[in-house]
Amino acid sequence: MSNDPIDKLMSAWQVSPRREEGFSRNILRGPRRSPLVRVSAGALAVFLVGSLAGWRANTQDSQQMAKLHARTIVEASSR
Amino acid sequence: MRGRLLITALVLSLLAGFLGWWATRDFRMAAACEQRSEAAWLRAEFGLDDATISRIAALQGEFEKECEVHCEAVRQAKLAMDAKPGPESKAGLDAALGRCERSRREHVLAIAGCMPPEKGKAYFALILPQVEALSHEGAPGVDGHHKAR
Repeated sequence: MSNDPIDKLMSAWQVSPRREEGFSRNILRGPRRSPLVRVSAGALAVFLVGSLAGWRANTQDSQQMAKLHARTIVEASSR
Repeated sequence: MRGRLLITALVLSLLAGFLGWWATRDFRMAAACEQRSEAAWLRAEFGLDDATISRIAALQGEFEKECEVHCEAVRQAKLAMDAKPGPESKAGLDAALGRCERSRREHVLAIAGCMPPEKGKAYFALILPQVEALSHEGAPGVDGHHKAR
């Protein structure tokens, strides 16, 4: 039996990193979500990214055609 | 088991991304852009019908004739400026260019007038800045007319 004071023993005590991570994660962010919820959240995020890409492509097409139309007006007599 | 789950999740995500893209993409606009068809673009962007598109095409035809007269006036004014530089010829050139700019603005307004009010406003707001940003004083083509740049 060690005769060291309790403070010294406590300061030397360490929780294994794996146990510590699991413990603090549960406290800070709550228990891990189910795989179905995580897959759904990921799919929703990718859906939004896809929507954004579609919207951007529309805007680009529109800008390109507006430029072409403006050019047609300015160059009207040269055709 | 875990690998299969990962593949399923990946395929689902890709499918979701494609679905999002497909849901927002305007394929009529894409086709108009690919064919570089202004009529198809006007139809897709502003929801115009065939009658309106025909009216716009007729307006464009009239404007081409009008613009040809303006271009000739600008060309003559430039020749006069080269032959006899001075405030008088400069005023003549400015007047010719001013007429040209005004007629372009009026043409954009006339096209906007063919559309329902809200669409017309949107058209005017989209096209006029682009028309005004294009210079009409590029090098003349082989036909003597100036190209935009």
